[in-house]
Amino acid sequence: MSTLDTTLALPSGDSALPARALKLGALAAGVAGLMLCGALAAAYLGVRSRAAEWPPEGFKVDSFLGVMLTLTALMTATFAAWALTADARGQRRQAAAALTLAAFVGLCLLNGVWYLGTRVNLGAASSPYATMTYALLGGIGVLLAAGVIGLLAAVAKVGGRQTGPGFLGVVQAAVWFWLLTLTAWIVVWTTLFLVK
Amino acid sequence: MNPAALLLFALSAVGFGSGVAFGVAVGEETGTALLIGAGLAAGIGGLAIVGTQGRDVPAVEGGRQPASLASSGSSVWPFACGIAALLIATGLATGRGLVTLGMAAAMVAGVGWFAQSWAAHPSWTDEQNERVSARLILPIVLPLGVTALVLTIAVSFSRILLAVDSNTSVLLALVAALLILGTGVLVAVRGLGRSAILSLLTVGAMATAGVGVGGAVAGERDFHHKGGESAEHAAEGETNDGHSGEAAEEGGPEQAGEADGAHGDAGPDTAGPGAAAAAGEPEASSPPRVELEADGLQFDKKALTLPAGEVTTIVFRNEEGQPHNVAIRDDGGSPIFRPEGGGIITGPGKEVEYKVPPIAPGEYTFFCEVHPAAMNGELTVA
Amino acid sequence: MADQPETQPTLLEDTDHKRVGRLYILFGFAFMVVGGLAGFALRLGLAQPGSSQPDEYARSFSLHVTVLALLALPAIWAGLSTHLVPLQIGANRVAFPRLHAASLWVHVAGGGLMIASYGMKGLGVLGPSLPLPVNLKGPASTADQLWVTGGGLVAIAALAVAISLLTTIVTLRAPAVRLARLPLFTWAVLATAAVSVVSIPVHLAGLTILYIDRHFGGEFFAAAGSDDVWRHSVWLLGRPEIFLLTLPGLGVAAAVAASHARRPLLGEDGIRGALIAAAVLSLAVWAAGSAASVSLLAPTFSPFAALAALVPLTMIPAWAGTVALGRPRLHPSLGFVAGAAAVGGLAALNAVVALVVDGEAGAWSTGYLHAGFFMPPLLLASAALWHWAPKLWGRRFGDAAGWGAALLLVGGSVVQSGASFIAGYQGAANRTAEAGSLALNRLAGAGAVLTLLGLAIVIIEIARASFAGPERDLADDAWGESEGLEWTVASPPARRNFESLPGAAPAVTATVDDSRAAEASDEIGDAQPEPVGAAT
Repeated sequence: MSTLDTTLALPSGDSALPARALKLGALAAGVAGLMLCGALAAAYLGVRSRAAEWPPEGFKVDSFLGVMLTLTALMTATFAAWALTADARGQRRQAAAALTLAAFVGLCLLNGVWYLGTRVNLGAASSPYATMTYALLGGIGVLLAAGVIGLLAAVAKVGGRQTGPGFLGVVQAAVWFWLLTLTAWIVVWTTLFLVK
Repeated sequence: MNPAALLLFALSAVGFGSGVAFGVAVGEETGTALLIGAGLAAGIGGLAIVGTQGRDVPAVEGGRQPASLASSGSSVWPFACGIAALLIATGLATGRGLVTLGMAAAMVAGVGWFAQSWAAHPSWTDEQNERVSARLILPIVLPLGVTALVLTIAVSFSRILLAVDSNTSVLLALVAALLILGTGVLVAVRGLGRSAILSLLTVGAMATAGVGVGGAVAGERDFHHKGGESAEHAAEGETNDGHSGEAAEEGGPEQAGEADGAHGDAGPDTAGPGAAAAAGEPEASSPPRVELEADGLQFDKKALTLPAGEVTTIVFRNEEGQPHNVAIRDDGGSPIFRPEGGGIITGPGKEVEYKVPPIAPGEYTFFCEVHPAAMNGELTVA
Repeated sequence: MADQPETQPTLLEDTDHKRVGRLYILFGFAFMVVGGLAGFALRLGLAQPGSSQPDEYARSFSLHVTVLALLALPAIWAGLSTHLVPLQIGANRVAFPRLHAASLWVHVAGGGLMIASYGMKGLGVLGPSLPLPVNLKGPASTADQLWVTGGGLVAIAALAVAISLLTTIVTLRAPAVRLARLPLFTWAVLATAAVSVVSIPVHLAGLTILYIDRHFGGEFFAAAGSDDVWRHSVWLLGRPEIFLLTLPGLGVAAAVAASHARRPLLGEDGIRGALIAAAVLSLAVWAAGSAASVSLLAPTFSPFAALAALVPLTMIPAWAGTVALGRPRLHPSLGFVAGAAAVGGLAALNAVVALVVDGEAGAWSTGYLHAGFFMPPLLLASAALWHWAPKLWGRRFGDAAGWGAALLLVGGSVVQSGASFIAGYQGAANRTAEAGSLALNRLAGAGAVLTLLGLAIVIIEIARASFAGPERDLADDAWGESEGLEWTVASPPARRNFESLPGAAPAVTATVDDSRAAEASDEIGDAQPEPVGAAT
């Protein structure tokens, strides 16, 4: 067992993942998600600038729903920020509570996006507008689902006392990804409801 | 040679052979492609095992590695994720049933992945491990998992047998039985290790499921050989549902909902190819009805006439795997009639009845909202 | 395999970065065989007038380009970097080993779906090879959707690999390895991964739109303005990936030149800067091609994007100077690098000539694509294989085989693209089957045969190394006087790469840091650290 001793004595290399690795990975994934929605928004604007009618005749954009969803997004962002602070101070219960709330409100947001999708009620391929709308909603929907799953995993990790040394950064990773995803929602919302 | 590689090579041969047989016997592309693809994948896998196994020197002499290292050691969940991704991607292209299956697989993989990372934490002890496995895994997860596996294999295999013709299905069943027997003999004689048996089971189950998916996509063979196809389908014409194996998997109620035109889903999935068309005549009825059919991105009629001031029914039938509906606008382009919830149906062989409220006499245009440019016609209300 | 330790996980569940990397390379070459054969079928068709249908031609062309650029070359680079980067930075693992393993299987699944879609009826998405979305106005087809979802899987896998590599390089370096002093291959991988994280999602966005369009049988790509969406997100050359295929290879070339010239690289800091510049400039292809140009030239014919293509060329003098000033050892990997430089130079030369001579896009761009974008990465990847084979398989690849493969690949591609260039100058308009003069087409076909033979040698060497197992008593530093942490561990490395922490042992620190300042790297090559990796 002498080998095992030397192994454990090593400070790095095969030690557990450093906290910032998980965080950096989540940030990179979040940036990728933001880029996805940004590219869709760019495509939306590009096609819109050349279209004769945009949105299709007879279609009304329901701004109210968009505003409600954005308010929801801000709410869950606040909870996420709370979780971040609590985690930094080592307040396990607070972090777990904040994460749970963020995940719950996040689920509401996801549900709202889904509802929005059913309310659009255009044939998905009936016009470029419809195609772009569904693409934007689909893209942000997948990202939000991933974010909620990440938050829930973080809740479990915090609740199960698995955020000790070597496994730091779970909360930070989940929250940062979530915040970037919410930014992506802002991009989608701006495109669909403000620019129209 | 490594037994796992041998098994994979055998599987590859079976895949190719049955692919060719399937192609010749049924002549259906998707199934053939999937079978041959499975054969190809198994062959590559075998080659890969032979090519890459065991070039590494053992890590630490004796002793248990620290838990943190185990996380970079081995995990079957990444591969499960690959399978799930494959199912979802194929399902997105062919039909909803596979997506559901893929989602379920992804969920299993995700939970397993998470559980593994959970157990790798330094605070997780062997004692906890045993407790969980005694209270959770053995009594609940294992039976459920085995049941799911058996069900998947059974359903998949039945799909294969249903898709091919009767002679081939007998042959396939025979081959499968021999394969199982041979494996048993192999296990008994060679004394395969636990991991070899497990990987054999996994690969076998996956291959069966994959081919079963192909069978489901291909649809069931026709059981009544009464001559021409059309006559045969006319006999089935009472029902609205397409008779594809996949449609059966997707569940009837949903399709009934679609047929009622009452579903609010704006984005219906296309049904898989191979769904048999049921071309029955609807029974005659008293309220005014007109019939309209869509195929090849066209309506079968260029002009329709409806009685004025009366509730009428448009019996709309979609004969292709494209989403269509029927809406009415006036010459200025303002909407006159739009089915509740869009009423979009995706064939082939789907039918829906739209109740059209009374319309003032005049000239209108009926069109498909999904393909307004290609699919339209004149509507006269008099 | 009686000598296997019991702890060795089966292939399907192993997440060790070395094994995942080797599998990636194997799958990459398997895909390359498919793509290469499709290309050869094209050449056969062109060599016999009227024997091939335009539709079939378009389909094979699309298969050829798609498989090579999306499935084969990225997988080979992913494999090489997955295997080598942790060794080069003194880490025992990649940051997310399971994510990495998952990406491998997702890539294979997606690639399988894409290839399968070419075997089915009704495939309209021949787009990755075409700058305009043709044939996409009709009804949806299963084949199209399979192509799109398969492509989505491939993109997601590439994104996962990029994220994992990025995180690995930034956070898992041993203390002795400073970010600014990263080995050049790792540096190039870092640049590639960083750009990929930004650029791949754009491709995914395009695929999302394409999927909705193809699933519901829409007419999005018939609408005004959708051409740009296509060109910037779906079309293969409309996104930076085509440049990123070469980028890791530039790092390989620098490492190979320094190692086999047995001296530090000339102008190393400049090369670091140039690699970053090339990566960043590759994003400029998004700015290019929005003019209504419909040729394959478009991405390199905007000033910015041309700059991105020029930067690699500026590195060639540095490699050549390093070899000239050093004590070069004639190693096949140097031959591959020289060949890549020559073929890339040929493409650059013809880009200049095309500005002067009023050439036609069709046949010319085929040659340009080969000489500029496909052959250099393949040659540089082969250089990496020959150079790092002792670490990958614990065997040295054959010298004669290496030189033979290099000659065949370079000669074949020069003949092939040269003939295409000349045909282009003669005005062979389109890449359709009727195009070009027969003699030139047959010449190009002969070049294709040579190229395939070269590829066959590479694959045979890989297979040989895989089957034969590690050499006995292969030194840690297989070539002698090589710099870098990967040469301080056993060949092949132990399952956990480093027994002792690089940076803690003074000898290792010396090879990494101090030697850069000291020109006399000779002594350090002899001063081997203890072979701690050999734990047998």
